[in-house]
Amino acid sequence: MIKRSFLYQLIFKRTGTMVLTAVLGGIILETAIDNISEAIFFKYNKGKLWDDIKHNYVKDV
Amino acid sequence: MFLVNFKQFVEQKRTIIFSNFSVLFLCTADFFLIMAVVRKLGNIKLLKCRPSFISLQVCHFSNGAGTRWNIKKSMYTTIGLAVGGASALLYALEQSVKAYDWPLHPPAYNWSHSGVLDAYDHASIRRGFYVYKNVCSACHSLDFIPFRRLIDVAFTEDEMREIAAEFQVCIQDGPNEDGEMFMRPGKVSDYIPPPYPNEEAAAAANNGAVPPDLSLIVLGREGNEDYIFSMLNGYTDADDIPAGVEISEGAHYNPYFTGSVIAMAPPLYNNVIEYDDGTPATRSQLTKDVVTFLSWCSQPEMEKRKLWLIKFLILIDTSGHP
Ligand code: HEC
Repeated sequence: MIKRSFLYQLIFKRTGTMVLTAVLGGIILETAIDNISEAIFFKYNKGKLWDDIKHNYVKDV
Repeated sequence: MFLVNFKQFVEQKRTIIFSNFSVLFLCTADFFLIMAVVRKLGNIKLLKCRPSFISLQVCHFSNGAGTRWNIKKSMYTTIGLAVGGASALLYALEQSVKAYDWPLHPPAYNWSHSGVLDAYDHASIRRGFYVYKNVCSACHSLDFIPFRRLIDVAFTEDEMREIAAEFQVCIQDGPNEDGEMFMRPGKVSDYIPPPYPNEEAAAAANNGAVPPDLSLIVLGREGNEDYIFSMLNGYTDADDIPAGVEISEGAHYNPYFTGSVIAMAPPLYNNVIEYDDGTPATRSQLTKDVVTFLSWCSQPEMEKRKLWLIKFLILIDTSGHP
């Protein structure tokens, strides 16, 4: 039975922990997906983006 | 005139809709793939339907409404076939209209940004801006691009400050605290200043033809980047103009331009400017760079869009549920 499960006792039983988990999960998932997709995009386009050519033009103080 | 404009409008929208459709199709296909995989893993206890649920569904469909369901189904099929056939017919008719469209069609070039995930070549945007600034800006405005938009795209903030100040040495601003207008040099927050104050002045200076604004020109012409590139490189020498074509004073023969006679003189030549990164400034290089720059002007959000596609696919994949 799912009722006695560890997750149920820890999270789903109370609304407070449930909402907290959803919010934290959302933040973590979004950060992870952002970082992964940016890594894919930057790797795929290496050498073409502004970050890759910027060093030619920024005057170091 | 209205018809020509309308046709161009439809043409432009059609490419946009089709490219979005292909992305949508990709996403949907991906979604169904995930669904199929999850279905195959149906042995997992969590995903299995309980028997009671299935029998409930069966009851629902065999409660005597069978015939009505069948009629409805055939109706939907007929409507679907009719709509599908009609749109296929319309599409075919629209395609054949092109037969009397007689400008030369540009070949499809492999742009550095044309792939589904390809970003712009920012070094090329930078060179293209120099070409616009030193050549095209004498006649063409770029009304929708402020200087600041190029910061961290192709120029640093300091470079852009200098460029904005020398692009327009005097610009009217004000009023100041005495209620008077005053002159100041350009700032990064200004939009790129137009060469002519109004269309009449532009026409008067160009034999009656108005040079169009270039901000959205890449999306606004059929063939997009390929067309602009071919047109800028497609001028015909005076000796090679086909017999019978009348070229008036100040006009030029260009088979890619609708009507083939264009009022713009060929703007680009080898080494018309010098690049600061040492790239040889041949005519086709200059053209490629300015077209990349104009493409960025038309859709500066393109890279964000492609990044979002990756995010979207990851999200669909991780949340795939039948
Ligand atoms: C001497 C002024 C002049 C310069 C410099 C100039 N153009 Fe033009 N351009 C024109 C005029 C005039 C037209 C309108 C032509 C017509 O309608 O026949 C035009 C039209 C165009 C068109 C629209 C063609 C179409 O399909 O309607 C594009 C694109 C264009 N120019 C791009 C450029 C680019 C890119 C540069 C810089 C490399 C440039 N032009 C430099 C005067 C100029």
